Amino acid sequence: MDHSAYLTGLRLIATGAGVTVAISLCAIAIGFAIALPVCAANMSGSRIARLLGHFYVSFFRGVPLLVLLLLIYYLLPFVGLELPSFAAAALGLGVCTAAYQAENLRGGFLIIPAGQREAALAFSYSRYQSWRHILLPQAIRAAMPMMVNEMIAILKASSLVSVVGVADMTRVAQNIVARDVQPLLWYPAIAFIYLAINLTLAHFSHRSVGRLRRGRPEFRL
Amino acid sequence: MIDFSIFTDAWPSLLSGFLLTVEIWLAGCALAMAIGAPLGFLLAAGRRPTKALVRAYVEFFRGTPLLVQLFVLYYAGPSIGITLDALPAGIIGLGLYGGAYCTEIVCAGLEAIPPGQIGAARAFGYSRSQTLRHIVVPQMLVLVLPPLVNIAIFVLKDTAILSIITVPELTFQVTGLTLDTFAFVEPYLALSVGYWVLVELTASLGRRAEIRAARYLETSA
Amino acid sequence: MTTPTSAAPDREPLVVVRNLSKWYGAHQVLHNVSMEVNRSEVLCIIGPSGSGKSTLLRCVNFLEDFAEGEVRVGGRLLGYREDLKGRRVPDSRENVARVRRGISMVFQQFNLWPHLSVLENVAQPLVVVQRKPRAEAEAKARQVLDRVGLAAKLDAYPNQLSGGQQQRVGIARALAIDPELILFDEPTSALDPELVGEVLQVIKRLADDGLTMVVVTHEMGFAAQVADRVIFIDHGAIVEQGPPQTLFRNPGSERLAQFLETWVERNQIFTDAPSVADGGKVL
Ligand SMILES: Nc1ncnc2c1ncn2[C@@H]1O[C@H](COP(=O)(O)OP(=O)(O)O)[C@@H](O)[C@H]1O
Ligand SMILES: [Mg+2]
Repeated sequence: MDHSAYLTGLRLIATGAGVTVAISLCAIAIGFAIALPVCAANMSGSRIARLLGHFYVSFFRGVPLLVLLLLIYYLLPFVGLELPSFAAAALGLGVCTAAYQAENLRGGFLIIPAGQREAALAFSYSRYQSWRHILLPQAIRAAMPMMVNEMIAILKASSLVSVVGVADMTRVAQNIVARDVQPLLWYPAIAFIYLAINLTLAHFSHRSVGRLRRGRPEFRL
Repeated sequence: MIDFSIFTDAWPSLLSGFLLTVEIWLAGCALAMAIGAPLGFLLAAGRRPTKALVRAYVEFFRGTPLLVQLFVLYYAGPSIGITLDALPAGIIGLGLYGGAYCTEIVCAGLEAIPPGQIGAARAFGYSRSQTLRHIVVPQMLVLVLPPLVNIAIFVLKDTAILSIITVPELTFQVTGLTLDTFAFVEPYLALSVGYWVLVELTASLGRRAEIRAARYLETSA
Repeated sequence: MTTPTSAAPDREPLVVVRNLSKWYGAHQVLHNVSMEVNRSEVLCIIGPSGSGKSTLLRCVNFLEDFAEGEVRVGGRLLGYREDLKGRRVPDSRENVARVRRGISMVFQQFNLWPHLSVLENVAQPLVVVQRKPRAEAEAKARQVLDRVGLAAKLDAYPNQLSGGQQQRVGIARALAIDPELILFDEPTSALDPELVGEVLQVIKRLADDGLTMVVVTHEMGFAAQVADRVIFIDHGAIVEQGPPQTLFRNPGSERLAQFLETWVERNQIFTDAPSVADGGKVL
């Protein structure tokens, strides 16, 4: 095998990596857009809203992502929605991560002390103003490390979109291996690319977690 | 129209798939714990080079997709003389993947125990192993049980990924069914609900165990 | 149907509480409380823990609802209105906010917003609620922060400040909205002893400037020095009230006498201990 074949392979992998990152970002965005109302439903005063919210979280956290992707991929045309596979897969990843993001957000809201809402009320903030200026910024901040974890999880999970025909990095590697039969080269290679992206992402959350850990004494028997 | 009659002929293969899924799940969890307990201990209390090695293992397996890990193990393994059938490859992959998470959890559980307690035990003349057995482990178990139940649920859902490397578990059987019958929505919907029920059952068992564990500690204190 | 305030706004009390009763479930925490707050008055509320001081203060701001009685601010009903048949019904959030707008509050636990800098903590209510331009709001914030001695800390975040500094930011936030009345709920109770003084100093200066204030406090020395009037509450009811000299010298009730005695005893410990009072003279 000559060099140009490797170069072509690398170029394909790079394109695949772009697709992997793009679909993950889309999924996170879709997920956040769904997570906000789901979280609101879970924390609302209405029993029916809470029931629906709990059902959403429970179901989408309870089904394997692979199965969910297959289901959505075939369900969309069944209900008359013809989407390109990229969009269908991003949607599948998105509805799944929404369930986790909603719970992260809820956790972020729950650790806000009652005095925060109260101070906003005492200064005549409306319900929306206190949500927008006081509660949501704090909830998002508190949920941030979890959100970074969720991004990492989605980036990894995006490898499954290869089964519904999206040419992400994993799928590209499979295609290359099918031709040149060098699994020992290409699969570890993409593993390290995933790892590099994730470590970069984790770097941000580790910095804050690291600060927390630094104060903690080491475990010694 | 949703039509569930297609399941009547297929139940033997579905049953065998289900049983295999459960076997893989249990084996994967057992392997993950067998890896995670000692490595978690090393990560918390080991020497520096040991810690670094364990940390590298944890970062690699948590930072890359399970699917890619399985590809490396199953397709690239033979190139370096590791030839495994799909089933053992799948279980080992699942165990290594889950083991990385278990390692981190066990380590965090150990670090969460206030050093003063260990100091107190040593002051009362407990040996290292007595401290570990009577002071550290009982408390740690309560702390790590909830996240371990979570990992068990993730392992259960991830068993579905083994279908991609042709392990004939439940998702694989259902996919076979869809290809035979050209019905996609019903089987995948039923499969989703099946996993969901299994996950919820596990979660509720886990919650009961958590309450039991915490109560046991409380009353025996 | 003319409101009395329009006739002589300065003579009428700013706040009138009439026959207020409040329950938490079956537990009655306020019994038929009536009181007034006059303009430019400093009113201190004292009483044992759990006697209902915070609850009363929070009702005056309608942070708590109440089952019976009424609170009027500047003559206007707060929290409830009468419908066409004369029944008492909860008022709309907008109306509550409108009546409450002249009242601000300083909390025991500060309740600063941790994601905002000191300057933003003070300026944001002006921008968000009063819809002032940002520049104007920040100028105002700088001015009040200067007044509480924190002009150097504008860009700090609350967590980077001492408790005393945080509470002074809380006071600046309350001042910035140009309130007619500031409610203080034990403003120094969460502070380390050595930080109490700086906060009380600031409050005292505001009193000298003629601000109307209601201060729930356990600092009897402060109450004696600054209050125009003191109200003693026990078990959710006003037991007695009057000028601090009268109340502290000649308590009219056994309960106040007992309450003051525990305080005097506690204070005695300090005055008898020269190492504390005189900064280590003994050593
Ligand atoms: N949210 C609440 N739910 C139930 N009871 C409460 C609540 N808040 C206060 N209480 C009770 O009301 C009484 C008065 O409390 P509070 O006004 O905080 O007293 P103080 O401020 O004088 O210490 C206390 O007995 C307290 O236990
Ligand atoms: Mg109180």
